Amino acid sequence: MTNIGWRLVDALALQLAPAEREAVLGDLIETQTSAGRSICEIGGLLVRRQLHLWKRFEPWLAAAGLAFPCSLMLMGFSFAISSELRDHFVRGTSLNHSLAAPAEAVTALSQIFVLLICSWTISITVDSLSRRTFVVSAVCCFLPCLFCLLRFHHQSLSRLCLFLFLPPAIAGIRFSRRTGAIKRRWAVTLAIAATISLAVLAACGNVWILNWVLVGPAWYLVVRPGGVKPTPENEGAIL
Amino acid sequence: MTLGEFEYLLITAAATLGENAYGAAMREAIMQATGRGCSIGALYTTLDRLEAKGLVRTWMAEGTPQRGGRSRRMVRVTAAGKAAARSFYDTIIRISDQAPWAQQTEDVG
Repeated sequence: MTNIGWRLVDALALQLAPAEREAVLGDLIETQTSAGRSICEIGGLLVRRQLHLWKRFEPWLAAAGLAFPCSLMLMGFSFAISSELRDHFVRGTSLNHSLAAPAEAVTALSQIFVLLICSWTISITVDSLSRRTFVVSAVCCFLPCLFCLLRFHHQSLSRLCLFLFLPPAIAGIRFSRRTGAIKRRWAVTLAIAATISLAVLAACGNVWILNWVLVGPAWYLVVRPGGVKPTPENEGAIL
Repeated sequence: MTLGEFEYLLITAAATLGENAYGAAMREAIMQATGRGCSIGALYTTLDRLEAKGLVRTWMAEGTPQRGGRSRRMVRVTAAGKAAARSFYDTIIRISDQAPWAQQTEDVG
């Protein structure tokens, strides 16, 4: 039990910043605190740290303002693109049909652009706004996914088609963690491409007005490229 | 700058311990003085708050064998911290001057 207990203590302590982890574990060893009590002490510290983070607006914006609503909207785009792809390929409609109906092809391409660019930029923005509360943001993203996954029934489409936005979103997070910053030139290009794509969809009448929220993070990266790099307060220990 | 009760306790413990003021030692001093527990969470989050206010300064120092070689977070009270603690103390003394329990304490003494 003691070994398991101390392994739990070490695992919990990994959530703390390295310097604080050293100090806290040292204090617990020095005062010969039991493993069970140590778990409570570190757990209490972690809870206080998390609660303190939520006094700022960034975690709320990242979780409730971006991750939750944008995952719903991006699932809508994922479904629309899957339907288009099914019509074009699975049902055997040839390329000639696309050429005969360029408007549909443009719509499909615009949807794909919006999905790819917005998923990528939103995930970078969520990660850079509040890295230490990223787990909560991820839960806010996955809750509507789970809800839709359980309720989605379509005879010719897999449930996984709802999650086309996840690969670019995961790529965005990896980019944010590895590189951190995006060049302004690329940020401008992506923002303009996303806006034009969404404008094309709007012109075709395929856009709900709240979908314009999706291009917000792309322009955020343009206006504040330095903001992509996490600040010390946003920087997480291991997340 | 106004202080809370626990902030005052931390600053006083750090000032009393002097060069030996660090997490575990301060915790022990507070628990002995108050007779109640002092969680690590309360200690370190309050230390962060005091440091942000400029009332204490903290830095990491080498560990000791009894800590398994792990670093200590040392604490030093700044001049602003001493002034804030003095102000808190004076306020407590002034407001307590005519309090029944203060009179009783003097009688007992």
